Amino acid sequence: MSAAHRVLVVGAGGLGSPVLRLLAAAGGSGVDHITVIDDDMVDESNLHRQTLYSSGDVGRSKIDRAAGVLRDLSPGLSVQTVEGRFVPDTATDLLSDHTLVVEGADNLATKFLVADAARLSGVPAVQAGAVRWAGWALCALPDSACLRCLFEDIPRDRIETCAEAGVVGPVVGVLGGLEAALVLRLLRGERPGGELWHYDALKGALRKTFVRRRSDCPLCAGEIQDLRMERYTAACAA
Amino acid sequence: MAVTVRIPTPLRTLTGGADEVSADGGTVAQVIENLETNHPGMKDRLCDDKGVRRFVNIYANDEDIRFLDNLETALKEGDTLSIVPAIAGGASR
Repeated sequence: MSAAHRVLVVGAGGLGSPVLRLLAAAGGSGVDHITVIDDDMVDESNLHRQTLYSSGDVGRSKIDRAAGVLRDLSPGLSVQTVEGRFVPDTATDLLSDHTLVVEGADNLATKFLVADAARLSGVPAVQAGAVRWAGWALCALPDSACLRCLFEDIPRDRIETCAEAGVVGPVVGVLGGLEAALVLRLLRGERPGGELWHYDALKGALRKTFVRRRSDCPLCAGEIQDLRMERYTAACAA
Repeated sequence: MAVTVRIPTPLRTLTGGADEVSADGGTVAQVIENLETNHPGMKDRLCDDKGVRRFVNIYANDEDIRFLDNLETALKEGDTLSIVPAIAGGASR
């Protein structure tokens, strides 16, 4: 990959915190600009897992605080903040001047939107999800398997899986670290497309598997050519 | 024949918290039926009337069963099934 220096990070929460810290602190790794998008304020209940923030940040905008931390970590780093949600109307515009996207969203609708937008924009997407004591991280290249090859569509009939969602701090720390490692590998010219990492903290297990492109994946088959809102209005989209 | 089934955290409420269980069956479908017998509710979490739910992946020894014979994928003694559901990050806990 050439000039993969501009990274868009979707979400400055549990996953985004380690991703942002590690990419900002990585020095000569190739990341010279980070854009971070989030619409949330720091809440006391975030602090156990969202390591960008401390108790003094409660009530403040996450992206404002995140930008401050990143600039302290790496004064030469260019940081742009976007306060809001990653939504279909603006997704491809946001991606247009970035060479890859790292997703740390807390809902599946946004994860699918990031996957679709990245593919339509021709950029790699590094994605992850976590619940309680376990989670996964996936690297999707424009020509590799994608999130829709793995999980075919947004769950629309099992909202309890979202309602149950909660996560232990070290789990998002590990998975965010894995996402950052995938980014740095991409910047080194490696092609980890299709790598799916599974982490189970209770079992103490980290496994790597490979996702293959499904012949009936609508994204890989080119059937998805736009980001219509209705694709992402699922039970978990709140 | 017995296989090992890795249970993801959202489904451990059905297995009394166990992260792995043993199940009998010569195919994935038979193992799911056996899981349902021993852990009621499991089949509904994994399958709908069309087969494996679209947001659930099942791996037989690290190979996605969609690239094998899906629910009819043959299993042998000692094989491992892994269930990987779509999960997002979430609220505090």
